[in-house]
Amino acid sequence: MLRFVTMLLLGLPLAAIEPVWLLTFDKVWQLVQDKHWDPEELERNGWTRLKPEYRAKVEQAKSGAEARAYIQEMIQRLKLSHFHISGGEPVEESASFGEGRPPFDVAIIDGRAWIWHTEPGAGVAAGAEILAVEDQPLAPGLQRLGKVRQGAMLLARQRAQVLAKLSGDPGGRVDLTTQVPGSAPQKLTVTLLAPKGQLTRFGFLPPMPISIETKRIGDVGTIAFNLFLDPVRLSPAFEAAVKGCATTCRGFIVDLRGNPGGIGILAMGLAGFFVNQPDQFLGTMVRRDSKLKFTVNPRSVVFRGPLAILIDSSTASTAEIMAGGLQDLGRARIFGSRSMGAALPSVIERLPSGDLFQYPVANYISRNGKALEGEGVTPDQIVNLTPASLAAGDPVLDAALQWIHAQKSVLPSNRR
Amino acid sequence: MLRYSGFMRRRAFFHLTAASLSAAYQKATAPTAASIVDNFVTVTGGPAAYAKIVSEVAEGTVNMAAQNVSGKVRVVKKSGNAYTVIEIPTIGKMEEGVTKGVAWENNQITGARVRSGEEREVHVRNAAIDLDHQWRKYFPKADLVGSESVAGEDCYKVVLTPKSGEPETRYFSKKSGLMLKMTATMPTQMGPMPMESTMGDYRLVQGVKRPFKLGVSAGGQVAEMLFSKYTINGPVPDSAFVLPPEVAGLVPKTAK
Repeated sequence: MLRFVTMLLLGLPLAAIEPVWLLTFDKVWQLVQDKHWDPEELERNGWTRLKPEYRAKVEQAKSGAEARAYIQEMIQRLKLSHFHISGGEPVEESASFGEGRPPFDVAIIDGRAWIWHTEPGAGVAAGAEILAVEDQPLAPGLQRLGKVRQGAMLLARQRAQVLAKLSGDPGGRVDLTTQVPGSAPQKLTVTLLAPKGQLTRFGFLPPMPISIETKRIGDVGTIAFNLFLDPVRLSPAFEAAVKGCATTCRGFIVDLRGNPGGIGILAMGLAGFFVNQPDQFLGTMVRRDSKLKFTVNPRSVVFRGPLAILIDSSTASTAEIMAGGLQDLGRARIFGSRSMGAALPSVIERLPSGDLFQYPVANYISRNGKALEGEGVTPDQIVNLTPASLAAGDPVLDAALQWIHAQKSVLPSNRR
Repeated sequence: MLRYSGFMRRRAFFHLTAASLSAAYQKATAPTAASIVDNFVTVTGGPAAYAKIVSEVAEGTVNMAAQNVSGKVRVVKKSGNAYTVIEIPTIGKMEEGVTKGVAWENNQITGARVRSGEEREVHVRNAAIDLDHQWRKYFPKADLVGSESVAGEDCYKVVLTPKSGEPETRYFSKKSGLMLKMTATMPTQMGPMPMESTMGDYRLVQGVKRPFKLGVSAGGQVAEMLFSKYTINGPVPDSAFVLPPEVAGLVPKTAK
């Protein structure tokens, strides 16, 4: 009798996952099925085959977190950027930023984290390696990422991982172990700063600080911004910077390093401050039902002089579209290192589970006919960073300035 | 009382030929494309009521639920001029219009521009205040191409072909005569863009039924507009259509 009961129990399904997770799985699968720009490519990647395999796994999941992880795993099988499901516990390679930021930036060289772009009073030396944060060595995590990522994407993820460890509440303190090459390791504490810029909200994105910095370096105008969001502030800031350079700048620098993108078509609008010919385009967004050109409308004020754009491995998406497009147009010279190669136009939707699902809906082909996804933008002038060059300043910016000053010293007219 | 005394006797014959008879009957009674569009004008107020329209103003909200983005919308039409403004926090004001034949758009994202060619023609046509009841002026050809269900309602599918440019497909409810959907490939600066509009919540405004709910799907984005205020023949000053300075600077002097 007992054996019979046991057999019955074995025959019964185990505690089933909540139905909402099956609905969530179905929604994710169907959205990709309906919206992927190339159904044949999707099929070649086995999307239909993946459905029963992963639905069964989600059905057997013992928690929402496990179900979410299976769904993540399924979409990762497509090996495309811009897929993300929020709501889960942060995984090792995802960046979970606190609001406070360190008083410096991080560069990854040979899989190691280095300090540069230090702010006044930072109390740390540019060109020093960060060995540990809160006594936790960085090396193991960075090495693990190296096993699953490569190229610019690896560098970007490693940098994001380190910056995540260095974030927290503004005013909070973080203990570091650093080492200047040739010196002994040193323990020190840094105080986290408030985020740069003004908080903005857009759609399902969390509130994010938008930082826009414009300045003049001698007779060169520069603008650096961290996201392609908040056009209400960003477009006028561009306009003011370009106007300010009207007839007095030898050149202009747009710093897109660390910029992960944002609203795609904003690349078209900002490019319009540097292109004075109508009917130009940066590239093409290829959807299932249409091919849409990212056209550039010349603004009422256009800077016509030498234009340099700075990029790095954390430059992604809309930032790559702008940099790559202006490069293809022959309008800008690009400096730095290869960009991330994550340039698929995407949208974010709420799932039945309450999670947010970001998924790509189009491919993006550069003006020269190259898909940016997985490839990124290759600088015209690659600037390799070294600990010594980080200590000396900003070698990428210096290269751009040098190029601008080598151009014809004719002050540009800015009117169309 | 049966109209035909031989009906019962001819029952067997009727069964045998039911399919062909039914088809023949449908052919004989199927409305024409023109009558369907005319019927829409009739059920929404009639030509006389339409002829009185001088201006229209609709105000409400725009909501892109899938993206969690919402804002305000205002649409103004008068004497061939049109102005639409959508305001979304952190995105800003997105304006477009037709002013004395100049079709334009202006926003903080992509800047200002003047539309030309086929794109301009479509916007100028859509700005016409008599577009609905004088539709023959704008669409010389109308074809009934079949039936299709829209939101569970059986609709006539009518293709309207303009003098130049791409045709529009309109879906009219067989039951109510109201237009419930329209699809077209819109000429845009970025290239031809498939677009779908849905209409609902028709309400009577100054003797004309207008949709208070408008769904728009284009370029992968879906937006729903809900109008809370709709005014016909209210005062609309000419200043409502003045070109923004960013656009005015782009218009050749001869075109202004």
